Amino acid sequence: MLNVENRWTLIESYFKENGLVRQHLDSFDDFVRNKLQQIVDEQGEITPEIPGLKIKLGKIRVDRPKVREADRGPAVEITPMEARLRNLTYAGPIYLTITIIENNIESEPTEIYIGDLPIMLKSVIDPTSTMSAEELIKIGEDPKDPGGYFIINGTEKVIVTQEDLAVNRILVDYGKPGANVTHVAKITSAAPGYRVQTLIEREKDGTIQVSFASVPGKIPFAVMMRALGVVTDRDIAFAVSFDPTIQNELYPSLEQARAISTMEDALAFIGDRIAIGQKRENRIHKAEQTIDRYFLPHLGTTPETRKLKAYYLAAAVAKLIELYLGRREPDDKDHYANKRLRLAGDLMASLFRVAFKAFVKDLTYQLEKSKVRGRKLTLSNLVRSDIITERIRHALATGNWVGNKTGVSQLLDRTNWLSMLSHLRRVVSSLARGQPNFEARDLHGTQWGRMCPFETPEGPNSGLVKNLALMAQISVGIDDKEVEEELFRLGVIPVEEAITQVVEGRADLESLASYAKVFLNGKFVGYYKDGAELANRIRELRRSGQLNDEVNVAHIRTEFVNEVHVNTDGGRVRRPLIVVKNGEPLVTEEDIDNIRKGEKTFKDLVKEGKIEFLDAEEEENAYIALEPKDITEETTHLEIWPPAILGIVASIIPYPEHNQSPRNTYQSAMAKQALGLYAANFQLRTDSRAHFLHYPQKPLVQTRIMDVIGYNDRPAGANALMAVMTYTGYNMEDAIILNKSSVDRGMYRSTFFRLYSTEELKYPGGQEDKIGIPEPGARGYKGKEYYERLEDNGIVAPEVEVKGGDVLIGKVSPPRFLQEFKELTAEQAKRDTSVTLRYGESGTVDLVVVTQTAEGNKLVKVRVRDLRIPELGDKFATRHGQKGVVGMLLHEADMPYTVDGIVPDIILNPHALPSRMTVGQLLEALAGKYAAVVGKSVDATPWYYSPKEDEMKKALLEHGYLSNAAEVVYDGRTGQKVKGTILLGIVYYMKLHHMVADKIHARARGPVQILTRQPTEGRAREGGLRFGEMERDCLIGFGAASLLKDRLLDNSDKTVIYVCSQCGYVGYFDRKKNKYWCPIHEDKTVLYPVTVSYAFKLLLQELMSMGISPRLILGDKVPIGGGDGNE
Amino acid sequence: MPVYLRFSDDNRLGLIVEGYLLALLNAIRRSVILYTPVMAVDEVYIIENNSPLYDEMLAHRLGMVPFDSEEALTKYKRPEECSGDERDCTTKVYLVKKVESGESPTWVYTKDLKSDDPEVKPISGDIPIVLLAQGQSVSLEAKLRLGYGIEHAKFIPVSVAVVRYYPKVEIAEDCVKAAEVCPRKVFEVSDEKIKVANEEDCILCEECVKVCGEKVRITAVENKYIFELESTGVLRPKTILREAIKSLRRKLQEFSEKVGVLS
Ligand code: SF4
Repeated sequence: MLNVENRWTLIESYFKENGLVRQHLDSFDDFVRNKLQQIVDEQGEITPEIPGLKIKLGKIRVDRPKVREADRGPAVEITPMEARLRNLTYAGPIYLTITIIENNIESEPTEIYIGDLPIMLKSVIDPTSTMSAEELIKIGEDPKDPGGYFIINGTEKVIVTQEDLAVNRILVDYGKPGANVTHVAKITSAAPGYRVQTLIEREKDGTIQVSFASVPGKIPFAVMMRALGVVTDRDIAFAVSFDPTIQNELYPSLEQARAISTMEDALAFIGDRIAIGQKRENRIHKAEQTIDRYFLPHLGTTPETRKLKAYYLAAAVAKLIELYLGRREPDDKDHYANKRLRLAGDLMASLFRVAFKAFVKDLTYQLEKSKVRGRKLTLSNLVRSDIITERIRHALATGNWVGNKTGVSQLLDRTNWLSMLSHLRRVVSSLARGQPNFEARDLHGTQWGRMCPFETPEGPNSGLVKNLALMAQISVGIDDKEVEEELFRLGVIPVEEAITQVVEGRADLESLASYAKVFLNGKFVGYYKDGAELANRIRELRRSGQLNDEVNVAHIRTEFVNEVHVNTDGGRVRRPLIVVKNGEPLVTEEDIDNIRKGEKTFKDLVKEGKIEFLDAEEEENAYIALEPKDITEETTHLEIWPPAILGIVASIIPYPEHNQSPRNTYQSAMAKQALGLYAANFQLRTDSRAHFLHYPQKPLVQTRIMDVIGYNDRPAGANALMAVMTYTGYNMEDAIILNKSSVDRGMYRSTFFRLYSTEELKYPGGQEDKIGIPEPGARGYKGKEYYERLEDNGIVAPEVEVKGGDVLIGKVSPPRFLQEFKELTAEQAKRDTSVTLRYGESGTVDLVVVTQTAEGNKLVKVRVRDLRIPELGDKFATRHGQKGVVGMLLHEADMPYTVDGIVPDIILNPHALPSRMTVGQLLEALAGKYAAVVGKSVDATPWYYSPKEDEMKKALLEHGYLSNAAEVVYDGRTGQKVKGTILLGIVYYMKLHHMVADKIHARARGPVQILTRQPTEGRAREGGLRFGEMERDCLIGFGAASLLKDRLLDNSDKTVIYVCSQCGYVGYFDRKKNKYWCPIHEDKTVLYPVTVSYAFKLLLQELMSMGISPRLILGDKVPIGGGDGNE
Repeated sequence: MPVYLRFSDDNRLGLIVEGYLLALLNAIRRSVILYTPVMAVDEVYIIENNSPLYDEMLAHRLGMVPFDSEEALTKYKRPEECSGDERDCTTKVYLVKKVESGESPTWVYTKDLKSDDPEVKPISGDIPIVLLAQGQSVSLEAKLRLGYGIEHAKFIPVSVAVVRYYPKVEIAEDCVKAAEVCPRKVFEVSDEKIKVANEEDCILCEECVKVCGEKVRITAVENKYIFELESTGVLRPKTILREAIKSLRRKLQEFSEKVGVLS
């Protein structure tokens, strides 16, 4: 029997082999190995407009990661850590073999350098992928780092997996209610470099219309078929279906196209739309061109593929009519069979294609230019390598991808180990988050084992941002040519052949109508008698290794639908399952033993056909048993490890199946904010901000996956003794009471790092920045005391205590505008651009790095660390979505104590539990206590946990504790016994990165904005706290007018302006003349001081700038003599 | 008002106290934690530290090391008698350790601490402080002083300080189940009958009452308490109790003096 332990061995073997970011590595490897060359081959050769000259493009190759230093020496190899420290890009030079053909004479092929390609860490072309742990440590890497990201300008970037609707598929749906279109089939064709959509619509009158990009209007279906070379009504009908009921539905369409009966006519008809009013030949030619290029281009762009396109179109029409006849349901866009994931390799390929095209274009231009000047061709001088380098680097640095996608590459989240892994396995949907898209956000049945059911953000992105489940793998994609040939070898009758057979009377209509339609990657390839048999034969071929194991096949059979779908394309999410035959799983205990002995691996079992990967489509044919005991005769597969339906983050939750499901979702979000050991090389790294927990512990209550994902080596939290009671009441509203003495002893202490860095830039005109102590004359000089901590070289020394405002790196820059330079002496014109410690922060200088960028500029990085001892208001959470801030720190003497003198670390309010229903947390408390009592950790893997509750309870009782983990406690303040018993157990608590020290803020007076003279906003700018509209409403409501004026005017932007009593314009006091001055009446008037808000003065001036003349009519504040004050 | 000894050894002390108010006993218990003077590292001068631990972490770890304070109580002044760097307030320990390149990583233990005062030394020499890799070294000077637990947990002399009610277990009717559920094995079963064997071990959890109802009666004896201490090793339990009471008495003395002045 495949018991839990045996199946766990499979999981361990799987992860040992694949690691946790296999999908990115596979994809990028494929890009480097195949796609890169394909893109070059697509181009093939460059033919500039120079007679007799041709350039043949040959092999492309990416070298090891290197950097070209500014002094123009040869490129030298770099390590990832060097790239991170020196703000370099971890990229390898790309070399392309080029052959010049001049007047049919081929020159010697030469390899030229065409640009740099950022290298994914741990991919095949990354040298660190083959290094041992010792070697990795030597070059400053964390030996457990999974890779899968890039280093661009020193920062780590992930290309986030993009989820898209599958391309090249026919998707049918109902038309919008009320519209003329009743049913619609949509096809998105993806050809190298571009995508076009084709719409096939059935209108109310029963006609079917086709429309596609670059041809305006709708084209009748029959016309389109004729244009593609299927001319007669009979052929069209047979192409669509052999079923008379479906053929009948074609009458309106055929009738509509009665007048256009030949291929030429049809082409001319289409040509009419594109090349209006041109000659018939031109129109036909234009129509042919357009069809080849823009109609279903994924099938090919040559005239030979037109027939293929016709049959594809016919199949789409058949599907559409089936939908109309109610023979099938509209396609489920949320079914994972209809989704494809685009990974780093894919996205890099589309980026590289565009960059390479630009490169070729530039090269052509350079060639032509140099030929015109009559120079001899020396390619290496003409090649501009920065085109490819910069385009790729820019896209990766900003996340703006080709096709106007944003946020594709993101800064790798290094809060803790889990957040990093989760980020590398994130999947983002292309759907706009602004729209509701309710169905797309819902958990779909086909996401089982593919996407984590818990891990998704709350709010606008809910359900659109997903995370891969543990065992999910993404197909890389293989060429379908071979598979197509194999299909025909198996006896699939090609469409054309079938039609001929019927026409010639060799096959009868009825039997052909009952045949299964065979689709390969959405393309209709032919008919086969018994679909189920074909599917099984393909599966057998795959299991025996005769077909690539990436091939998946599904036989979809309903009352009317009979289709076989064979898929080989990339981006399908697949998951491994044990194959079951005749009620017996093929993986035997012997196999497991061999794996344990190291004689076999997971891969071998896949090769032997004992384990196979299913995509969502093939899974529709599978009958999967969750447990070996559930296997029946019909069972086709056995689940390897049901808990693997969870993603990485949700996998660390103990007893998740006992929690209310949203709690697990909250926990999945919070685990990514916990402080811990985020990377073993943190002391070498220069992350812009980072935290680390001083004494992280591995949880007493474990889940099995923790070992596999490395959580136990890079934990983010500590085991705390939790009591559930109210006590003092300072833990109400989800607050927690922390034992101050435990905090004194080092519990949850952490260090916060922030990086400050600056570069000595060089400017055009020979000027440059200078790092050093600024001279007192420089503009923006802060005063001597701020520079006190600098050494002679203008940089602070390590282990110096610094506080907000202190200069860490002194720097002066040349003036921004040359004009300033002329007016002042050289020294005065210099600007002080020193780097200072952020306002409100303090700490100790931890690390100072002085190095050089690739451009040869001096680069200084200063890392400041700050000790963070838990204090009132710091945020903590358990692994069950129970978060709370510290409400009180109580001394050990004040805390409750048990009869054994044990004092809890944390007191949680019991009100946190009933409405949240996190039973898992109570179980964790029990299990944690059990673990502490018996001295070994507990396995709390969902469904498979052991020991079970009863066993733990018994053990507790035997060790002198109450079996329900409660204890008799005494109040530490009075010594009185607390009534009843109190639950006291060990729960893994995490310190989250929201800390009071980062947020605490108050202001009495401080800086104002230049424009409005109102107080600045935000803590970083020492800002005021906004007295907003609603607060204003309150004061109005109270009638507290003086207070209102005090808040909104006196303590904000109060100003005095001088208003001319004659014209009402704002004047000013001229100090030189010692006179009040009106812009109109000059000094021949009286100006009165008026107190207004500065924003109001600004408004007046803004109005003036628009050509409006606002005037202030003055009156007495308190009218004298009973007037209304308006004189 | 009798006080009986329940148990006593180097580190633990158990008393049964009769006739004293709970408030007083708890005051003593709290005084044990909060107001017993103990020696601990309070200031650290780091001369060199390129170990993986930051200065503040190293200092914290040194602070947590328990030092034998038994003799120190008579030698050094109490915190309230010291304001600055007066004599007889502090003593020093030194730590110098270097791992030469080529050597394997070495743990620095408390036994590597050199004390100025031979009577003030870590209670165990095997407490790890920091792991030094090759080429790393630590050189520091740490100042110790007497302090009270109320300032910082490093000055707390006990790991356990408990005052609990003295239990009384009565069996009205036979109920074997009580023996099964009792976590502290208070009952003994012989011939299918239970009898109270370890009454003092009863923690008043009333589990037995839950299953047996009226058949057993669990009550706390009025004005009789069990007082238990476990020292961390810095002071002998009896010293702790004596010092705690001394501190308490001094506070009372001070209070009464202040009241006396009021007239
Ligand atoms: S109260 Fe608890 S400890 Fe005491 S006898 Fe009953 S079950 Fe045992």
